[in-house]
Amino acid sequence: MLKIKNLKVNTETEISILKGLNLDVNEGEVHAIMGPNGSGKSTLASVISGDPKYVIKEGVLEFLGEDVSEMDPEERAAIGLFLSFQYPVEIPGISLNNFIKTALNQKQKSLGLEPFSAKEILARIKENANALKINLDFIKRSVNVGFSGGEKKRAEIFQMLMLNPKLSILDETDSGLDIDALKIVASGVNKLRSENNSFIIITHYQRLLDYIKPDFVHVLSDGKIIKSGGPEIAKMLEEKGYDWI
Amino acid sequence: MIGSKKNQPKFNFDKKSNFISDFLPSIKNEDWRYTNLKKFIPENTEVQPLTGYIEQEKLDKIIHSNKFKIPEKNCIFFLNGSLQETVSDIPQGVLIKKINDKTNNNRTLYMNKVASEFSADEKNSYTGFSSFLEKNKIIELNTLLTSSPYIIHFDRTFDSKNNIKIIHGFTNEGGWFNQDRCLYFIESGCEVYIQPEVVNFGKHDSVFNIVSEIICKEEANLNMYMGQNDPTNSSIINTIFCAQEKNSESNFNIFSVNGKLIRNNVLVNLMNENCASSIYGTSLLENKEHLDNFIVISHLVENCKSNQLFKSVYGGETTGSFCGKIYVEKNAQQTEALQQNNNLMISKKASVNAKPQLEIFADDVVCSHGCTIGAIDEKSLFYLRSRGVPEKEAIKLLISGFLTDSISMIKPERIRDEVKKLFFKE
Repeated sequence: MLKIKNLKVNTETEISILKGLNLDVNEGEVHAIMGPNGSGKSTLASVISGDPKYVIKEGVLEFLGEDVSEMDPEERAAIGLFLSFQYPVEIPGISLNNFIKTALNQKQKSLGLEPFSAKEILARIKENANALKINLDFIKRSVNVGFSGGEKKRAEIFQMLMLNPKLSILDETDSGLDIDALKIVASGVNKLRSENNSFIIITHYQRLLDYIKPDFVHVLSDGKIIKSGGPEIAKMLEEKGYDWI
Repeated sequence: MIGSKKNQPKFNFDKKSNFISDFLPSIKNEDWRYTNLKKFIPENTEVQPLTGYIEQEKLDKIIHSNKFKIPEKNCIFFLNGSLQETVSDIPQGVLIKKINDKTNNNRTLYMNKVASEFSADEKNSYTGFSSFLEKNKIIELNTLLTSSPYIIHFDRTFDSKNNIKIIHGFTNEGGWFNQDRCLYFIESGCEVYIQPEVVNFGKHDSVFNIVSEIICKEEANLNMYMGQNDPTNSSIINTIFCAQEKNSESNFNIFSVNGKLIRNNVLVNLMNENCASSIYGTSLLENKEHLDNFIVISHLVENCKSNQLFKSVYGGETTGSFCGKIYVEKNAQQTEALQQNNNLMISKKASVNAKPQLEIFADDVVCSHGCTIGAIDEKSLFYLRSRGVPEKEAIKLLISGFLTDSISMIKPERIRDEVKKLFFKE
């Protein structure tokens, strides 16, 4: 599904961040990426989603067999990529409700499909809001404006469920969440998890992986994946820290 | 009523006098620093008073024109400065008559005299506008050229569920520089919703100099909504003088989307206790327009509140200016005066000058001002795009989000929907 080979990425100011990264994600797999601060985890997430702040210098970035390295972020979203932001952006004046409707129907449009009817959208909103224990009044509020840390992350997972992406990247979605919120977020991910949908979960804590069982765990350090393996790696890191590697 | 040729006002304004140097402000005048009016008015422009006269045939043409549909209900229609009663629908509680004030010396406002007519013993202080009048002879020009303006009187039998459209229509035959003048008198306890609009029925573009005086009596509640969307590339100088009595409230909403030059002067005097005034401006300009909002709120007594919120989006080669002044008199304690001006620049060729001003002589007040000028936030744009919204749509969404604040201040839903259409063509 996602194929990354020898990916080298710089910032606009020519600072090298990813220095030859390799990663393969297949249908139905959940990959966890861990690593010390500043190792390039968020950059990897942003680059896959098409953030224009980063420049790909070298390497392969394919999604569903297609080179996506020069696609606009909206095109990548249309074919099934989703990024849950580490710091979701506040958008004053636009309700979450309106935004998700616009996003859904823009996605339909770019896929050449008919827009959803208001009734269909409402049914989906209700179902997904219920699953995440989100109050419908909450959806009428401006996107992320005045949301608590936990509410922001929940809103991200809500949008993920609404857009039903093939590959979801969760960038530190668990940071700053209490145990109850963590469980709700994890249940959202598990709801979407299937043999067709894949996930990349960026986290600092093994705790989240108790609720979302990863198939693979990778350690990213200084712009490269330096260790890959099963869930046991996360447990070792939690006990011994990154010096262990 | 169709103005008759016989009643043409006598006017001794010397056509040869150079009205440009005599009456138009120069940019050396601080009030006009960022708007050079002379650029918008050709040098050889002749000015003359409008007669208000129009042939029936021409009037019929206007009534049935496709350019602009005159509302059938609750509409007061002025054409070339003259009330057209047959075309208007004047609701219960509204009385319109002419002010025949021979004593007017051109330099003062009509409100002074009108107010004293209604309450003889009142010690009025409608003179708070004098410093502005001295510096802005363009108002004097308006007075000179509109010899007997109308007073639009609202009394308590007026049903506040009606919103009234006031159309200032012009055929542009009398000249290139057009004037109109009216005075709104809002009786105590009366709640009104007014939508004035300037409409150019003429063939060429023009400059419209519109002056409105407003008296809000005790406990009056005035709501004025001004849409500025002139597709004929005309210019408008829109001046409002509002004087407020005890416990009265005024809300002004200005929406600017089209026009060569748009200059709004809004001057409010809070003359007695517990007055409140809010002035909201929303603009979305994308071509070559020039917008200048000039606001002065004077807190003359204690316990009054005021609020200014101006949100502007500048694209294309547009230019703008915001000058918002809060003046607090020495004895106006417990004043609460807020001001906010946010500008979103969506083009590299657009520019804006902002000038927030506070002049406070009292010591126990809450006053604030805030001003921002910025571009579209890249992070927000990426966020929206990453969810599948194309760049162009995402920018539109961010613009509509930016403008929502001031638009949401419109109380009646029917007007709010109308305004949303004006901006977002939904």
